[in-house]
Amino acid sequence: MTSTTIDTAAGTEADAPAAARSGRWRAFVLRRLATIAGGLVFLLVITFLMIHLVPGDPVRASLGLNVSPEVVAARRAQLHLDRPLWVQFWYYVRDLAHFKFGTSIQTGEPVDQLIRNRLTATVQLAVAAMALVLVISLLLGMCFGWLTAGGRRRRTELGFNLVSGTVTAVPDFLTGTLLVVVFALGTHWFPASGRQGPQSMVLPALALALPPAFFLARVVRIETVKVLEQDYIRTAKANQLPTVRLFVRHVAPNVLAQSLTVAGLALGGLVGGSVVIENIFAWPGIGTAIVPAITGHDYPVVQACILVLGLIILLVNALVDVVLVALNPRMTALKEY
Amino acid sequence: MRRRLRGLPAAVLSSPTAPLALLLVAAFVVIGVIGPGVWGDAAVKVRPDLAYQGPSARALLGTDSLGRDVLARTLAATRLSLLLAIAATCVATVIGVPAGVLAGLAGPRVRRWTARGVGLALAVPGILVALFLIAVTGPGNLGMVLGVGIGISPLFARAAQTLATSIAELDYMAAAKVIGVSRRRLLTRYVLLNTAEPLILQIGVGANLSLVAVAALSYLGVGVQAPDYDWGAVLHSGLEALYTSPLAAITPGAAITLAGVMFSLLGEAIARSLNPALRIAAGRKERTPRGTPANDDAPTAEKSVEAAMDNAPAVARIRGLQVEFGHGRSTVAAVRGVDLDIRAGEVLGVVGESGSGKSVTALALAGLLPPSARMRAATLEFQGVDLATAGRRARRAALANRLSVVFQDPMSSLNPLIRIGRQLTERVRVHDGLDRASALGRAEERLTTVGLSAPKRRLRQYPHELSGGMRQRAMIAMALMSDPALIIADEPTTALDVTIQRQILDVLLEVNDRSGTAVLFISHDLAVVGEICDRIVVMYLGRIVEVLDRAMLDSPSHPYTRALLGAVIDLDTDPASPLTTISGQAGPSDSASAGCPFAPRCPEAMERCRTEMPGLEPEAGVGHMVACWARTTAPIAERVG
Ligand code: SF4
Repeated sequence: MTSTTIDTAAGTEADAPAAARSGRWRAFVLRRLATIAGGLVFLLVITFLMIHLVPGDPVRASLGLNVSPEVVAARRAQLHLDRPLWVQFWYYVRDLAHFKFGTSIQTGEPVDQLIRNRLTATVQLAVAAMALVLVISLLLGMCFGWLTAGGRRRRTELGFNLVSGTVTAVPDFLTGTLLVVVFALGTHWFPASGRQGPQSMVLPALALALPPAFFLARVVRIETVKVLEQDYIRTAKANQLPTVRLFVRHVAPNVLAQSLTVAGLALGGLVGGSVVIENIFAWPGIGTAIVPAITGHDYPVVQACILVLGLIILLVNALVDVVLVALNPRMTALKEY
Repeated sequence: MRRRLRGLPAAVLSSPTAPLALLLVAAFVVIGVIGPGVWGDAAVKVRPDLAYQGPSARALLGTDSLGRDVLARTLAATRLSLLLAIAATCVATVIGVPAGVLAGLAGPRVRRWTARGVGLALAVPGILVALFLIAVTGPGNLGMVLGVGIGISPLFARAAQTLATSIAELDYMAAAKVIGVSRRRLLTRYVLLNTAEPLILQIGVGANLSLVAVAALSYLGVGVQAPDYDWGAVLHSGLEALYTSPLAAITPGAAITLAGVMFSLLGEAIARSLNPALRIAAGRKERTPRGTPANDDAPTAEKSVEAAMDNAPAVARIRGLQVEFGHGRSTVAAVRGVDLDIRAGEVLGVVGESGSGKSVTALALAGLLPPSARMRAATLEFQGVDLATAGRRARRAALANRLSVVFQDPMSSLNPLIRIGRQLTERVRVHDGLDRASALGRAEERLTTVGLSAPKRRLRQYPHELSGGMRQRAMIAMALMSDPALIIADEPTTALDVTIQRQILDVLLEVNDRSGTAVLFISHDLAVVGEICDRIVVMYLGRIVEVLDRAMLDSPSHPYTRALLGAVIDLDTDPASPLTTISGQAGPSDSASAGCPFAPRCPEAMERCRTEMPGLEPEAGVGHMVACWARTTAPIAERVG
C-alpha cells in the first residue's frame, strides 16, 4: 500500500503536547493547590484576627464578661498574648490542627464537640441540596435545550425562561416559607421543621436547591443549544448514533464542562443559603449555631463555624476543579486555571 | 422611531423589559418616600387582641404575632430595606470597581493571579462575609452593610477588571487610525459603552443580591435591630405567625422578591441602552422577502436527467429536492429543485458560491439538516432505499454503514472530550456490534491507510493533541471505518494549510481508487474540483446550472461556469443577489422574479432570461447538461403571460 507521505512537521508538532502533558498537568495541579492553600491561609488569618478586631480586650472577648480575673490571666498566658502576633497565630493553627477550638462562652461546652454534632447535619443537607441542584438543572436544561435547539419552539423557550426566571428570582427563604405553607401546613406531607428521619430533609433541601437549580438550568439549556450546534455533534449524527447515546456520550460531557464553573459558584452560594434555611426549618446544623453565637458574642463558636463553612466552600471548589479536569483534557493547558 | 430619541432615558425605553422596570422603580420610589409617613403608625401599633388574624378590612393581609398590620409594616419597611440594599451596593462598588480596575491595568501575571483570587472570592457567599463582619462589629446595620458590600464586591471587581483590560489594550489597537475614528470617540463610543454593559448588569444583579442578603440577615436577627424594622425583620415576625396566617410571612417575602426583580431589570435596561449593537438590533425590522417559483421545471429535468444517464449504477438518486430554512413568515429557500445522480465509484464535484445550496444538498442526503430546515423531495434514494419515505429506523440503518461524511473544519468536527480511538470506533461498535479490540484494530489499520504515523498512539490521544492536517486524516479514517459506498467530503481542505490540502486530496483519491468508494466532493474552488473529479456539477442559488465531465472543463457552456473558470467572480464574496426569501407560502408564486436567477449578473442575458426559467437540457457531449437560454438547442417555449 502506497500511502501519502506523513506531514512530518505536523507530526512533531503533535508529539510535543503528548510529551509535555505530564509537565503541564503538574503545573496545573500546583497552581490549583496554591490557590486552595491561599484560600485556606486567608481563612485561618481572618478567623484568627477576628478576636483581635473585636473592640475591647481579646481575652475578655474570647472568654465572656463574667469570668474571674484569675481565669483571664491564665487565659492570657495560655494564648501567649505577650508574644508577637505571628507566634500567636502559630499557636492558633497548631491548636486547630489538634481539633482544639476552645470552649463555648455561652455553654462552656468544647467547641469541637459542638461542631462535630452539627457538621453532619449541615453536610447532609448541603449534599442533598447539591445533588438536587445538579440533577434538576442538568435534566431540565438538557431536555429544554434539545427541544429548543436551533431556534425551534420559541414559545416553549419563552415559557421555560419565564418559569425558571421566576423560581430563580424568589429568594430561598421565601421558597422555604412557601414550601412549608403548601406541603407542611397544607397537605401535611412533610414536617415543617426539625431533623427526624429522611422526610424532614425534603423541604429544607428543596428550598435550598430550587433557586440555584433553576438558575443553573438556564445556563445548561443555553450551553446545550450551543453544544448541539457544534460540528462534532454533526459528526456524531453522521455516524448515525441513537439519540440517547448521542446525549449521554457526546452532549452531556461537553455541556457539563461548559456549565461547571458556574455550577461551582451556585454550589458555593448554596452553603451561604444553608445558614438561612437551617434557621427557617430549625435544622440543627452549623447555621443554627452561628446565629445565637453572634448575638451572644460567643467568639470561639463563631470562629469555628466560619472556619468550617469556609472549608466546605473550598472543598466544593476543589471538587468542581477535579471534575472539570477529569472531563476536559484541554483544561490543564489553560493558564487561567 | 425610537432610535431617533436622544439621551439615556430614551435609550432605556428601547429595552423590551424597560417599561416593567420603570414601573417597578416608580412604585418602589413612591412607596419608599411616603411609606414611613403614611403607614408608619399603623405598622407599629401593637394590638395583642388582634394577633394572628387572617385578612380583614382592618388589615388587608392579616396581622402578625403582636397584632400589627402586616401590609402596613411591609409598606413602611420599604424605605429602610431599599436604602440598606443601595448602601451595600455602594460599598461593593467602592471596593470592587477600583480593585478590579487596578488589577485590570496591571501586568498579565498580576492579572492572572488576581483573577484567580477573585474567582475564589466569588465562590464565598456574601452572607457569610457579612456574618463574619457582624461578629466583629456586633449585630446592626453597620456590620451588615459593610459585610454584604464586601461580600458582593468580587462580582464587581471581575466585571471592572474586564473593562479595564479592554481599555488598556486600546494602546495596542491600531484600529482607531484605520477606521479614522478619533481616539476619544473610540474610547467612549466603542470601548467604554460596550464593556460597561456587563459591569452595569452586574451592579443590577449585585443590588438584587444585596437586598436578599440584607433581608436574610435581618430575618436571622443579626441585621436591623428593633425598634427599626426592614422586610427581613417583618419576615421574622411573620414566620412566628406562619401556622395561623401564612400571609404575614409571604407578604414581606413577595416585597423582597419584587424589589430584587426591579434591581435586576433596571440594570439590564440601562446596560442594554448603553450597548449600541443591541439597541439597533432591537429596532430593526425583518426585510420583507419576495417570492420565486420553487420548482416548476421538475418534470422536464427529470426526463432529461434520465436521458443523459449512462449505465453506471447510482449510489444515490436525488429528484426534485427542495430545502427551506426558517420559520413562519421569514423562510429562505436554500435548495430549489435539484436532480442529481451519484454513480458508484465516481468522484463527483459540486461547485458553487456560498449560498448555492451545494452543502445543503449533501446534508439533506446524509440526513444531517438542522432542525430549522424543511425538506421535500420526489426521490431521495441511497442504495435503493428512499430516505424521504423510509422510517427513522430504516433510514438510520441504510445510512449507518454505507454513507460517511468528512466535514470542513477538522478542528471542530471531533469531540474535544473524547479520545480519537473511541470516536473512531463508536460507529462500528454501535451498528456492527464489533467488540472493542477488533474495532480498535480496524481503527489502527484505517489510520495507517490515511497515512497517520504511530496510529496506536493516536488512538489514545485527544483531538487537541493533533494538528489540523492530522485531524482531517483522522476524520477520513473515521469515514472509512465502515467501508462506505459514498463519502461526502464537504470542503474538506478549506480550513487547512495549503501544503496539507494536497495531501488530504490525495488520501481521498486513493481511497476512491482502492475501494471504489464514491466521493461527493463539495468545493467552491473550481480548480481543485477540476483536478480531482470525474464529473462536475455547478450550482447557483439552489439550482444546478451545468453538469459536465472533467474533459469539458476547458470549454464550459454556462455563462456562470465560464465566469467561475475565468475567475471573473470572486468566490469568496457573497453573490450580488442573496438568497431570495419567500414570504407567506413556499410554493410557486410571483412572476416578477421568474426568470433565470443568474440574469442580473449575466453578460449574455437577453429579454427571455428575465421572464422564463431555463431548464436543465442536454447539450452536445456525453452527460453534458446546461440550464441557459443562450445555449439550449430546444425550440423556444411559449412566452409566459
Ligand atoms: S439563461 Fe440568460 S441570464 Fe441565464 S445564464 Fe443563460 S444567458 Fe445568462
